[in-house]
Amino acid sequence: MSKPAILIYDLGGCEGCPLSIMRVYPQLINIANVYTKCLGKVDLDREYDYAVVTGPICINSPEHVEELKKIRKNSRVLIAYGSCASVGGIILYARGGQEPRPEHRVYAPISRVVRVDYAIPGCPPAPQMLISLLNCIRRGKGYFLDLFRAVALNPKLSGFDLMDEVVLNGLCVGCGACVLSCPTNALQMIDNRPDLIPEKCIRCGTCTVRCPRFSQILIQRSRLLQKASSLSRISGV
Amino acid sequence: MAYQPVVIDPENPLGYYTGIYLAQTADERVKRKLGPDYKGGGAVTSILLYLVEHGVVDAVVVARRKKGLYGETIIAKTPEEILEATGPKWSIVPYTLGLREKLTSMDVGRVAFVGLPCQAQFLRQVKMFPLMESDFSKKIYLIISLFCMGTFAVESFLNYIKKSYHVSPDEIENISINGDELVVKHVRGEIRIPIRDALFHLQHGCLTCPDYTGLFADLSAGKALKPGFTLLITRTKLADKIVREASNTGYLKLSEPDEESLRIVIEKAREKIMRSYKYLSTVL
Amino acid sequence: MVDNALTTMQRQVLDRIGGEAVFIVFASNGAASDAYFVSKAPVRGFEKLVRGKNPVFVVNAVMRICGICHAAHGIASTEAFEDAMGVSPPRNGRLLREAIGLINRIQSHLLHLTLLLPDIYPRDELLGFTVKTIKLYNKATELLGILGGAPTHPPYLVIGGVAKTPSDKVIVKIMDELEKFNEEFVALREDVERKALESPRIKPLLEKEYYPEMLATHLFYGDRFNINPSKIRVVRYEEYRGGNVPKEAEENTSMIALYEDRIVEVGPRARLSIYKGFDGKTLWDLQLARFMEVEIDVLQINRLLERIDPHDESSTKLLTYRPGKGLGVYEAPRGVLIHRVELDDNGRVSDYKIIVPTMFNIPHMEIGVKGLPSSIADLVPRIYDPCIPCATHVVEVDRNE
Ligand code: SF4
Ligand code: SF4
Ligand code: SF4
Repeated sequence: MSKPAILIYDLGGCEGCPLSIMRVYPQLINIANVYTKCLGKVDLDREYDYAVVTGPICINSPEHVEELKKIRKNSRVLIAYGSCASVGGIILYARGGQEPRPEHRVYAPISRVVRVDYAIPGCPPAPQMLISLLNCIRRGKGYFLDLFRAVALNPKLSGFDLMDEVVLNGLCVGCGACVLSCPTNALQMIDNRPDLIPEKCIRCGTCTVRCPRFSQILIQRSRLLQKASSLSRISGV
Repeated sequence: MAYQPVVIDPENPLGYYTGIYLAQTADERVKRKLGPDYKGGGAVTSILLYLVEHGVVDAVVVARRKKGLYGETIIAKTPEEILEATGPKWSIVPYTLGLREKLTSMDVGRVAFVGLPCQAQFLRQVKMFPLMESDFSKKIYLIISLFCMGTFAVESFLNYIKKSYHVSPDEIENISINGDELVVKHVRGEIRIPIRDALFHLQHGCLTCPDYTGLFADLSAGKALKPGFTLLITRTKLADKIVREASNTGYLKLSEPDEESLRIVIEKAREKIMRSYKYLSTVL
Repeated sequence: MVDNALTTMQRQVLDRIGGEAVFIVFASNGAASDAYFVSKAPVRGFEKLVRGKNPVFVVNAVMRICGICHAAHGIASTEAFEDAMGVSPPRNGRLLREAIGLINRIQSHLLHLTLLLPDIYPRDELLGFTVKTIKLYNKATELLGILGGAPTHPPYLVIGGVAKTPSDKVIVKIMDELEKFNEEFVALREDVERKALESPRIKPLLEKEYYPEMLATHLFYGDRFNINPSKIRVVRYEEYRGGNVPKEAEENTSMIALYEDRIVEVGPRARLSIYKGFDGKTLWDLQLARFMEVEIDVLQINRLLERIDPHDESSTKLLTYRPGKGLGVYEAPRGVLIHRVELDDNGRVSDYKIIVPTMFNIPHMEIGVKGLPSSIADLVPRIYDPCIPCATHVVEVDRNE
């Protein structure tokens, strides 16, 4: 069996995500042919089995938007990798106005611009993540795969959403998964419930997909969304 | 890859498994600790003892009851510490930051975790999909989940016992299940509460949880119908091997599961999935 | 110059550098005569992003400017806040912070080496050496995970010091690892240096002398008293080039920094020249300086770790939110990095300015290439190791000063 071709491409993130991928490069080359700017030229006009896009999309940069669309068109599976690409992450706070390009105002998860197959939060995800994910995609099913697909459809995920949707909504069971999933320690257990320290949250989204309640809600919602969109297609709405 | 993807499906509520056993502890220390009238199996404790005493793992993470319904998570490295944590748990013991710190700073390589289904889901995700560079994925060796129909909102349940039965929290010594009653032992005697009445005090989040047996675990364990026995569900080759070894080395007695125990666990698992569908639809 | 009949223009999308940039090179008779370095990454605007925010947020945020020199930004930022709030970390905190910064520097230099290898090694040997270098890089990365709490964006860097003191055991373990690391590194370095002498692409760099004025503030850490920030002027790229630039260069997303209105080089060679008497004048010496730094940094980390008292606090818990102004100067892997902060009455950020090393170094990539064969032009930016995420995400013209 020939190895799949995998493109790793950064759209203007901090480079932390592609570098975390570089760290498993010695393993990755055993399961895929890797194309990345870290090692040489990449060609966006050819086709790839997987495209792993890191970094957020700047809605005000037509060049980047075009690049992203091209990548979508030329790849079989598109993976939004890391918090910036999948849920927006720290860069959601951007407000533009900075020289020399004050017009770069709005940043978004890439699923705002193109259809994304799987979205993986993490700032940055641990290197092993990509290997596991590729293995899992090959097998084609399972709860976590559903979850990462759901993140692509509902990218509004942060510690604030965890509070709103789960904790303040009375659905939290106090398992502590979220507390152990925050890279900045923005969550702490108070009386068996997590509480958010707002100034520490960088909106990486990790806590939300680690929460058993939130992940379940996400998967269910994405099913409804998909159903609704296929219905509207049938009825021509 | 040894691990099968989890699919939650009411048609197949036990999920993927490699074996189901009826188990009973064969370890004298566990029997002594449980006492003569304890109805649970003690099989999990015995497995943990096997793991630690045979050097299969360096430590186990378990919840220990502190007082009444409250508990704490401990990292146990010795048989004594494990034995001390034996017994049923009635509330969830949250994982906290301290756990990660201890796990990363302690000189432990392989760790077995015992938790509830929601915690097993978390651990599986950490192990398979490390979203954080500081995840302790490499240390997770075995995930054991206890069957769970839901956990109590502790304050609410305690207040109910106090109001209805005039037993205050510090007087409670032990709680166990007998048929469809909760038996609460306290300093002055014993009260029996119909499970139906207690259900009101389950956490809301537990009502939307679809997982009864711990589908994400390597090994699921819960009470069997037959008093003194534990039902074990192994979901990976590793878990299967461990259970057999624990039996070969005299920690456990294994037998075929009886049909009635099986029927009940399947029924409960399906009931929990259906219950979750119902509640989930109200919160979407 | 474009009117010369033999002049050609080549536009090259740069690969194997940190970030997204285009190098436009004009050449006559095959030798580069002029060049334009154009950053393409969108401007994320961290200086604006952090306004109004709590300092705790800002430290976590600015680390995410860059996934390569995250710790450097973390340190410059905490230094700036501490200066503004009037606190200083305890001894342990200062030692640890320096050690964390140096591990980050080693990480960065090794990553850069990975990017450079294809210019040095023939195809059939490349993969093996890339894997070897990455494995070494992973070792440094692991150490940062232990000391800093994570290998990227280390969360233990906090205002007031370092959040966690490593235990005796951990310190010994790190020292052991460093020793092993060093052995492997020395072997790798020797091999790379030997191979470089044979590489046709590297050869012109070995011969080309380029040695501009140098600027550095410290050999290992950074010192706000060795630089006068009011002498730094940040200008738009077109302004620096005197207006006359190719169309694409007008869209440059990076700015240029000048010291006393002159261009200066910052980074490993500048540090070693000023503090160690290093006098390598060729472009390849930029890489040799990086190698030397890794070795002296390993020794320095050892010295720092030896002095840590595992039973002492590493951060001061006493933080008061108050108005103030602060300056943080730190020698990032690529050179001097400056964070300046102003806090309002509630202790929140009212103004934030960041000057990154790549803004000083861009002019040298353009001048250094002159006279070299245009076929290897891309090597000059690469040997200078620009960092576009930093350069494009943080820079604002400071007209009021
Ligand atoms: S998710 Fe984090 S590590 Fe990845 S590009 Fe964004 S800021 Fe960098
Ligand atoms: S609370 Fe923590 S894990 Fe959750 S989004 Fe915020 S920073 Fe990320
Ligand atoms: S992970 Fe979800 S259910 Fe568990 S403690 Fe956090 S918010 Fe509650």
